[in-house]
Amino acid sequence: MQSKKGKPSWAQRIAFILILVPVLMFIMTTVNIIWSSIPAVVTYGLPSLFSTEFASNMVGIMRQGDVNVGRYGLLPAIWGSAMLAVLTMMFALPISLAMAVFTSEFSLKGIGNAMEVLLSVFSGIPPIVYSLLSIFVLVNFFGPKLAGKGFPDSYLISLMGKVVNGPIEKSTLLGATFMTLLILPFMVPLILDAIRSVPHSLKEASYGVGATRWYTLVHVTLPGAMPGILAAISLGILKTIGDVVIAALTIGQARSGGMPAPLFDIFESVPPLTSTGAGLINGLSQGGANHPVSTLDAVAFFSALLLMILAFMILGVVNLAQHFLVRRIEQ
Amino acid sequence: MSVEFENKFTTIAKKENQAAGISLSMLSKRWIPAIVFLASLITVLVGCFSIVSLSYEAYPVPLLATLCFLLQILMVDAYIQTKTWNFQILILSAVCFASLLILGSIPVLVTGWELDVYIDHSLFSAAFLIMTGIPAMMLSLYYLCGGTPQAEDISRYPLILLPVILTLYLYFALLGQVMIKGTATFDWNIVSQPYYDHILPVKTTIAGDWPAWKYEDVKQLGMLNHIFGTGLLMLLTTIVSFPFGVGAGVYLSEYGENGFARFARFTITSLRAISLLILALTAYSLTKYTQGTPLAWITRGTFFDGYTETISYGGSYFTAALVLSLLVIPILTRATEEGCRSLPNSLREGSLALGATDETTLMRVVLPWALPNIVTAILLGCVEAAGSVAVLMFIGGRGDYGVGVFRQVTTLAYLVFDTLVDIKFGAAMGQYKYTAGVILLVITLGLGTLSILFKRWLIRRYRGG
Repeated sequence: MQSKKGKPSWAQRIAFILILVPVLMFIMTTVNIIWSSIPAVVTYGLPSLFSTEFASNMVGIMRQGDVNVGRYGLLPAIWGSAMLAVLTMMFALPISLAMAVFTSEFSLKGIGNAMEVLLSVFSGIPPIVYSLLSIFVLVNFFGPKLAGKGFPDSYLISLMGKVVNGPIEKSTLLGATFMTLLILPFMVPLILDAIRSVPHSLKEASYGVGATRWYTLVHVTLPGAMPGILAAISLGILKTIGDVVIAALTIGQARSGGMPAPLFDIFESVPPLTSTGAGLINGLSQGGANHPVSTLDAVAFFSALLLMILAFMILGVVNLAQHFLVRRIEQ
Repeated sequence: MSVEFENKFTTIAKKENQAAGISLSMLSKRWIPAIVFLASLITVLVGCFSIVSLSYEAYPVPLLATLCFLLQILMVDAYIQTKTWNFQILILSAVCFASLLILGSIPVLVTGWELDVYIDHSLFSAAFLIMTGIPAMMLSLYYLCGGTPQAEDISRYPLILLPVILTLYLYFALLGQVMIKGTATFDWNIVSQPYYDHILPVKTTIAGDWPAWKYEDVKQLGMLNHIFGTGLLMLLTTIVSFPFGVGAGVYLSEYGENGFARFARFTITSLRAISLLILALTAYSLTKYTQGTPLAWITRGTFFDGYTETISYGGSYFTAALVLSLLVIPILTRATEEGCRSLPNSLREGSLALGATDETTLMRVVLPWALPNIVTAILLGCVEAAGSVAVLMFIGGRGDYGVGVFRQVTTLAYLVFDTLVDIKFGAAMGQYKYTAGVILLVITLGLGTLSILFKRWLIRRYRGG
């Protein structure tokens, strides 16, 4: 189609102008994020931004009128993102593998098609609907089972006949449950594509030497589909650490307690980078009254910049792993 | 000779059928695996139920003891059938016994390691029941189906089916909850009138019939503006992102071999990986940096405050659509590129051989071929626009000044979000958040279903089946 030697056709010129717009939009977005996060680095300094201390003492700020009283260490938020991503993957990966295997290999064709249609319909459920249901899940699934220690004694309530402190509320576990539901419909089709792209000749050779379907699946199909499964994992992690609404409403906005007491405490509210940044702008967290809004905003922009770097790192690592795997499979 | 062969063949086929399926005659022969299967099925079911309920706490220990005993019988039965000792069964029986002891010894509320939680006993019993019930089910199913390689395939079904069924149950339970709660508070008045909350001068009479003006809070609950706003935002997003998405897709598939195309593909892939917080902050800074400039009339939107058009406190529908197009353009680009690439070379060469120019081929052959993908992507983009809250998080409003391209943006999703975090609407609107959720769900799921149906119909129409 391309007229390589002559002048570019008008269709090519128009398409070039049209593609320039999203490219420029992306560049402008990136530049804006970087440029707006400079005040945070200037005001608080990088060591303070990467400390574990996240506390803006409102009283102190009002008394001293000092901008630097507030400390916005984003290390707990980074740890929260990491914990959320790992926990969500622990839930989502086995379930999505089981769903994909059931749809492609272990079911009748009609049921498999119905599952695919159902999943593509589920992928349209807005995240806000999931967060709308967080109270329902808390009352019916977590409430009777898990009780939090964080409540003072005045909040003692009776739960199903047992007197304990109040039920756990916002926690990484609750967030990971909803994140799993959010990313499953996006992960399963990718794994399905990967399983279907494994050459039939390989599978038939395996069946031919007398292997069972399960043996073929574990030893031939899934290793062959590994690059696609990695792509699904990367998409899942990116969606998990990138979602604001579910994180803000099920894990919490901004936390002033530093790192969680045992590092892996999934029952505590450790907000990830997204909801920390959103909380700083919303003013829902402890933002000082005298605080100049622009520096608080700049911390939010800085957390967005961290997220962007994190996303590129994940994409790069997954691309490298895919290259490595494809080369190994070809050998 | 041939009759003998046929007889032999049919007997083999019969044996295979017996091995693959479960029949009554087989049950009479292998009743021990059948009983073990039944026991393990009950174990798994009780385990699943005790995730949700607290009323099954009497069962786990007796169930595990029964399973432990039955598995040892199964091992002897398997030895009689196949003349080999299967020690997997013995190990599983030991695991059953160990989990029985652990379950009996742990207290009602478990805590430790300074974790911020008391974990209930029933959660542990659910975990142990499912952990031992699934392997027991697999082993008994293996011997129930005759211990052949096909039986091994069949015996993996419990392992694959359980997560699928549990997850689908969770989806349907949650969606059902939204539907039940939303339809309970559904009201035609709420849907058919806009939200309205102003402090206005109201004419009253004092001291008999002396006219006077008094400021009153005039309030009217409703979500008509939010519904129209969702529609307008979908339309605007489509209008903004359609040319750029399709153009980028055409460029990448038709002319995408140079360095610039590689860079463009990288940026559009990155746009798909972009965090929603970045979009929210982009929308926020678009409205913030234009504050006080003439551009604010476009980015922030206006409202009529009774005297003049005033610049509003958030962002306009146009801003929201512009930022949302960052989310929708990658979807469109990818779909267009896939559609163009799937065109068989013979069709393209046929068109070129008839003397058609590149442009004619593009417009008459390539784009119609990619049309099903493009339409699906547009509908998916609309779903994305309707359900996205993050973009509206900092710029959305209550929507009581009407709907227009340069009014303050609001959608159903924003209404739900705002009633949840309780910033702008009072408690009066909060009771209708599930209704708003139901309308949002109907819009998004309806569009999703429509996209699937449309794709099938268009493929039949433009690609000939």
